[in-house]
Amino acid sequence: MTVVDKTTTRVRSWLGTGSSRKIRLSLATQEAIWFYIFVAPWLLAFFLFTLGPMVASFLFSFTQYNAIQPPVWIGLKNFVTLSGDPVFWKSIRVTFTYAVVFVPLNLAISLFLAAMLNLAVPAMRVIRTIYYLPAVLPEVVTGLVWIWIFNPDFGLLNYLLYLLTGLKGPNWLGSETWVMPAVIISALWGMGSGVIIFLAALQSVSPELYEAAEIDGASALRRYFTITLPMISPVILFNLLVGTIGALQVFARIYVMTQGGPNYASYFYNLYLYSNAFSYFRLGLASAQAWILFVVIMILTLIILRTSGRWVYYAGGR
Amino acid sequence: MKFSRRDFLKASVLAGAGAALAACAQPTPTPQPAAPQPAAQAEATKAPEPTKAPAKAAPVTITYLVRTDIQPTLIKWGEQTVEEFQKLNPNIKVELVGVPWGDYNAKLLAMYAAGTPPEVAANYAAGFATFYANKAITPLDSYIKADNIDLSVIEKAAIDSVTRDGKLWALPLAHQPVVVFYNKDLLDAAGVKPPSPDWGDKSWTEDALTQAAQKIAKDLDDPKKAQWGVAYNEYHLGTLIAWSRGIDPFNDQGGPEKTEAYKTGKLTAVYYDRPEMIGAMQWLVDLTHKLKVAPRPSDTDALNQAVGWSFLSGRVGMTNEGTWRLGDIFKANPAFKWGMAPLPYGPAGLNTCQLFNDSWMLTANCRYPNEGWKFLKYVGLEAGAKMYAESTGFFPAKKDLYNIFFDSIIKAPNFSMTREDMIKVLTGGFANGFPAPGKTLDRFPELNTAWNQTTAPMKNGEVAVPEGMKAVQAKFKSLIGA
Amino acid sequence: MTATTPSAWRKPTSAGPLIPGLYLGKQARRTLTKVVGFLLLVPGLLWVLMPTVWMFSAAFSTLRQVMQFPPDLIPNPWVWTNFYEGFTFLPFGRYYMNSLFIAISRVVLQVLAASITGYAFARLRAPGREFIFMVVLSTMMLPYTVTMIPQFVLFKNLGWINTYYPLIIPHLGGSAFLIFLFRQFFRSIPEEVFEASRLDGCNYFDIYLRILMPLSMPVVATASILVFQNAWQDLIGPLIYLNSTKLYTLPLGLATFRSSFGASPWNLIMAVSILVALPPIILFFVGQRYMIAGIVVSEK
Repeated sequence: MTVVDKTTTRVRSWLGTGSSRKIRLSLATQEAIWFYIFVAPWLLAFFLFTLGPMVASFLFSFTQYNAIQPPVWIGLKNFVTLSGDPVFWKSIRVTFTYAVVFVPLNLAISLFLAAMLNLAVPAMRVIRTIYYLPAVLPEVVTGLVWIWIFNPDFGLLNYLLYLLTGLKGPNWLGSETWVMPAVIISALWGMGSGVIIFLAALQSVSPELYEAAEIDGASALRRYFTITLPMISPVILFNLLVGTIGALQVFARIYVMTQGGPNYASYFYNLYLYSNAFSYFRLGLASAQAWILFVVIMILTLIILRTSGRWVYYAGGR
Repeated sequence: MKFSRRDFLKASVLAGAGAALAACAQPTPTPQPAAPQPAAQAEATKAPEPTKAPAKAAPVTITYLVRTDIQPTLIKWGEQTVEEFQKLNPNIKVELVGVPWGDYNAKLLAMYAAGTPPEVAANYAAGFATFYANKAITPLDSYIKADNIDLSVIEKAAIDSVTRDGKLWALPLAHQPVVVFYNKDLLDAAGVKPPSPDWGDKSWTEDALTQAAQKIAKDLDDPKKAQWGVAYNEYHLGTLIAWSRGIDPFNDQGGPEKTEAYKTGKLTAVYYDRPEMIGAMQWLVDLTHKLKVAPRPSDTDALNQAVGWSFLSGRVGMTNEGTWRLGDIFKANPAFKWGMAPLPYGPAGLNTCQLFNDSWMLTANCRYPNEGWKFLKYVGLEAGAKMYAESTGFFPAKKDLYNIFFDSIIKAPNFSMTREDMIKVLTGGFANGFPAPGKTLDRFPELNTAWNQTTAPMKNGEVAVPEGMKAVQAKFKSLIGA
Repeated sequence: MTATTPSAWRKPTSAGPLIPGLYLGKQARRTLTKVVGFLLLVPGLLWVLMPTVWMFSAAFSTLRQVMQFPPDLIPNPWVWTNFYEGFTFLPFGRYYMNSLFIAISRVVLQVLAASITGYAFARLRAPGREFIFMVVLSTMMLPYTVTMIPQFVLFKNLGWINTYYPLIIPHLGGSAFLIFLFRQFFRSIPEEVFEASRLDGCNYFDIYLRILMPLSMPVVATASILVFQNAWQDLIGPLIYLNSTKLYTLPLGLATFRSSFGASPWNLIMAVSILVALPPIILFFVGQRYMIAGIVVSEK
């Protein structure tokens, strides 16, 4: 304890916050030192546990490697193989189609739901918990349920469609056209985490802002668009970015629901990557795939972050 | 240019933690495969296991990987085997690691990469050939020779399918034929006589099966009552329905015996667009979409998800499946009477059976190959194999254990056959059987995905069969680079 | 006040009704908003509940009834023993404790670490900050599938296989997801909140501890819920690193349980799944008190 105390005192004095102020660093330097102290645990964990495996997988992408025999350096051959592989390109098309539709849709619905779930209505705690349920149910269970819901003949979805329109619904999971909408519908069901993050964000909007607006006579909708959305825009950015990264890495649900079929119509990028790694014993090729995805996500992230300045409002400035 | 695993590790360690990690890192032992290791040295290079301090005799710990998810009996068998083995060999400790099937390979490969593969592991669906092609196995010949083992105790077809380059690469524990399972209650209700148990009965044809199915199928428009005549599987890459037509998708000379790839593992030619192959697929698809006696893929999926195996729903008259399904019947305890029959004869007058072996291997570069072999031998040829036949419901590969297996199966719930007829069905397929391509082709998992994906439009009735088979052919051609 | 308002709000908007042409009193308008919102939530509620209802009904049914095709929603007869039978088939009690241990350790470690790191990225200026932040984000971009094996080799060389270390220790720096989350929240807190305290002689750590954290209960609660859920459902980590069944976690036990049967005993699986899903649900139910009724940033 005493050692810690001593150190603390020394560091404090050093940083200009303690009692003795013999050495005084500039405020900017102090701030930078504090920054690095705070980030140190993450940096340590990163250097110890994350960077090594990342670098290894990067090196593997230039090798033929099955995890059993030592890797053999083959230069860019994995990348050449992928560029000539129709399944690879198909998996890219599938994944991007999904992301382009799902991410904005999910964002809009989550925002809407969060706003509704934020109302002070009786039994709201129970309602919120019910909406959160899908996030905690095991994938095995939900996989089975979806196969039943999407059944063309007696599935619930087609039954509802029949009630509403009188038409016979499609063979969702058995049709190359309809499997993607089915995947998106099932994905929208389990969106718990996006909603609860928005819910938390709504709490940090000052009620005084709303009161002022209400006095000015702004309607609920207008208040939502002129106060709520700008105030929670940092969190919208968060959900957009994390949602995009997640959408490009979809795996588990597809594995249970469609196995990528029919005829590769839901063959997602990560499904192919996983198959290459652990079913086909081609870890080198899988690593190349992973790093291609890495670069794509990195570029998308940079674009989103760069353009976010135009629509994200940070009350705290810096 | 070659990198050793250690170079890679070093690179990642350097990039990552630098000295801190290197100081903690233990050297990765790289023992010669099959080279005897003195116990003392073995102990020194043993992977650190802080919780298990070595006893005074310094027992060697070997690892045994099994999948946990076929039958509860399988993991119980594993535990029992380990326990009995350790009693006999106090110097060898066996660590039993159970993994659910979905991630079996992920765990196995991680263990390989770390230089600590499980000494003994089973190869199921990925097949022995995939492991062989990836140099993941230690051949057993020197051990077999040293221990003077007579391999004729095991069904020859099973031994052949794990032999490559004149060497034996694994011990088959199970050797299972595909047979027709039928729901006797549904057959009786439709006035259909159960097929003869005799594999030589040429009146049991695919046409006869189709006609029987037509009599059984009813109420298909009412999902609550729908009852299907037959759920027929084409089996690995469509070969089962090709073989009964005297052809094979991978040669243009004749049946599976003409396919060189089944011996070498390397696929060099495909013939999915042959008229007989198209005919075979047409027959299968017509069962669903023209005659409407078989469940559609969406129905099969839903049934399989619900009950594990659509037949157990009691609403499928007949289905062809491997005998590994017998264990499921014990578990589900069906409310209907059931029986087994041979595969039906195809247009070419053949009913070639498809044989599946599950084999257990000694991994390449494992730490304790000698102890591993001792355990593998116990599991595959000695008391372990006997317990397997007694308790798992899987057809043993060792011939002297057949009777034990038969004794257990005859007790299955609601089984409607005599012991004699049952034996006829179960053993009749071996004579003209052929190993499943999944067990003999190097890249089977990949080929299987391609087959499932490209045949889906046909099976869903969205694409005509001749057109669909052209797409299958094109896909396979591009896969094998022909 | 003005400094903290979004630019879009600077121009005061004219008074307007919720629906054009419909003028109501303030109280009436508030009530109307609530009623409309509530009504909008109901169809979604049914949509979300649909699979859940089936899950519950299956948990109380006999296996034979679950195997009905299509599924029957009302159990007949009601079977209560599924819960007991499912739970005692494997040592789920032990798995429960194991899972709780891992999840709670991770919540404490990750939320603490990520909040302080997120704070640094949000409020402290330092050379290299943006670069390091991109490095943080980059760890989310590489699929785990390809780093899993090198990481396994690393932990094997540390002697950590078949221990909980690989499941907990790597998280001691927080995770990119959480750091990013905290950063976004902390960046939207107005600067004035900090200025006063800095004048009072608080250092950056004091600010984090005394000012920021108390203000941030909603995000701390949210982050805790998310980490708990994530740790609770992790299958691949325990599967790769644990060998002894006595160390198994709930998802690993459930995976074994599910497929332990050829014909899956869905009634037992559902019963166990409900018991497994309880802790995260309870955590959410309780946690939302802090998440929703959190202390709101108030500027004077």
